[in-house]
Amino acid sequence: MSKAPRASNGPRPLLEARNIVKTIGTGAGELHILKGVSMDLRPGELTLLMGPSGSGKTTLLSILGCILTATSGELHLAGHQAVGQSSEDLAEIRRQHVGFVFQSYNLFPTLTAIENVLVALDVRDARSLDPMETAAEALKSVGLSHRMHTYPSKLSGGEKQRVAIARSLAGRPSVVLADEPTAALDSENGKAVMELLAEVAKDPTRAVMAVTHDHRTLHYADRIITIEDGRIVGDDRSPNHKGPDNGAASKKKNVAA
Amino acid sequence: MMKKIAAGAGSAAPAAQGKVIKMAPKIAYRNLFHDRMSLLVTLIGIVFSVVLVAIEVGLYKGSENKIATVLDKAPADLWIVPFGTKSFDDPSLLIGHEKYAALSTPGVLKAEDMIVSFSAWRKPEGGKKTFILVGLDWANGGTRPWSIDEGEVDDLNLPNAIAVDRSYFKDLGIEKKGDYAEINNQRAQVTAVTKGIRSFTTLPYGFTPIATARKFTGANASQSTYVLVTLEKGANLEAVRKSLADRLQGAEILTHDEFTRRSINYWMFSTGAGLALITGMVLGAIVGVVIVAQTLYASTKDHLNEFATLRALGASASYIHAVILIQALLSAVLGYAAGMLLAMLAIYRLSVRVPTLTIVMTPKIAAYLFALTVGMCVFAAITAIRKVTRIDPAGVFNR
Repeated sequence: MSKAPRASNGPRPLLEARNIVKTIGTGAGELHILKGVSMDLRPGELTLLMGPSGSGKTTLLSILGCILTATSGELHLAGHQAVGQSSEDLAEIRRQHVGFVFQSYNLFPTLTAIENVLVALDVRDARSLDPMETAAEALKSVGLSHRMHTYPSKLSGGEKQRVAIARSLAGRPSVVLADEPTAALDSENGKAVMELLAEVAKDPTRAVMAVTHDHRTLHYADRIITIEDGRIVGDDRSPNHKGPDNGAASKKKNVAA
Repeated sequence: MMKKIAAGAGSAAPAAQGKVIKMAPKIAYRNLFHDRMSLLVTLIGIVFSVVLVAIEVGLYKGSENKIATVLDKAPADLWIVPFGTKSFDDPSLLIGHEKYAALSTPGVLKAEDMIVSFSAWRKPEGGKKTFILVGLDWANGGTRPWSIDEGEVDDLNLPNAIAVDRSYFKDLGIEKKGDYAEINNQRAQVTAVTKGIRSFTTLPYGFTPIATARKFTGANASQSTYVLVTLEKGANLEAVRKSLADRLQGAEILTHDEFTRRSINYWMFSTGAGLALITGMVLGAIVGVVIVAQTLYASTKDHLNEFATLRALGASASYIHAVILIQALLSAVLGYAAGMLLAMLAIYRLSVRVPTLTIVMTPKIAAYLFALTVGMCVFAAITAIRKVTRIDPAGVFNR
């Protein structure tokens, strides 16, 4: 994995995508899903990726998360060039730098909440002085210290998603990518999850991006990227966002609900 | 709650070196026990396979032991055998000067005659039975009869005395020590009874001093079937063998192991008896592999979403393979334990009900069987591993 050149000014983006193209199929069946997407994710920001169904959101998320490879383009994640890497190298980048939150939670049904978090630590081979304590701390941070030893089948949808967020954070990733994190939740749980993600994004060493259709989530965003037909058609910052140079800590204080 | 997130997970710097909790075994264990019916099917497959293979291997090993039963009790560095001898139980007579030729060969410490001959046993109440007469030369320091259960070895020095195994009493038409019969039309008396000496074939062994054996078979005083040669300490076996071979044109000079292996190969492979046992063994193993492979594959398919999630979380291919292999190993250990327990029970019951059946189970065979079971389960895991290898982690976004 080659290192990307450092940005010359401002907080260095944790993720930089340049002219990402994703094509599937060949000949008459060739389908251009992404048609030259360029974007970056800066630390301390919660970015929402929005767009209609079939616009390429999930494909872009998969590529940014090093799950899929782009047909062409450049992707630097936490300093590592991701395009053209082997599947094992991509797994290594995911392991070290990416946390995922899935629409369907994707918890292990046979493991308790704390064990689900421990899996993420184990996969990363992340040595912690006390992994149990680290996992317990992650669950405590999402308000689930009382549900640590509960199996997913006994958790509500909101609780499951909070376990998934705790799992995504346990490995201390630079970038957290969430796929429709509120889609399976009622409005109250959806709100709680978005508040949680917004809080996660306050960390000045981490960028968070969520794919969403849910317009109720807009006011949590520092930035909203809109994608249509495989192209970015909008990249708007929240009116109250002061920009990367102005400090992330205060950025959402005046966001209107 | 919120502040704790920012503080607790705020640094991307790696944590200090510390403990790692290995979750792969736990995932494997939970996956395995999650679907108890599937686990039961897996274990039944392995148990069936282990029991079948254990009994077939035990029978095979028991057969080998039976074929080599006399050879094992007559240790010798070299055996002088008639040219073309196929097995120990394939007797013909040497010319008669071989023992003295051996004794005059440099490097030879001692030479011992042994007679092995198919003979006719006429039962006291009528009827005949062919048996294998074995004449031993213990009077001159050679192999002594063993496993004497009733009577003494010295009782065999009586005229026309013979020792037979108790398990053949019915076949030989006798009831007890002291009974009379005829061997090759000469009166003989059972003066000693052995226990547990059975041949691989249906023919019983009968043991007499070599002089009596010569009398029963009509061999002359210097003739024998085999000459067992013991070398002097430090003698070069190959040199002595070559020297003997040069001097004894109508005979073959075999090492003890060569003669044992030749005998086993003849009975086990030339007659097809061993092939039947080996086929049973292989079939048992195949059945085990197929059942374990099928259930492991089904279990992997059931948990495919979790494997995809693991992959998406950044698990290496080897991490995921480890989960499946641990599942296979756990299945192997559980299946082997239950299978061996049942196999030992079956072997015990069979040995009680059919005393003539020899099924051998030793710690070494048990260890080999464990290795085979583990190998079988690991091999069975290949299809499941191939399945997860092709997993697309992007699938996690569609579920």
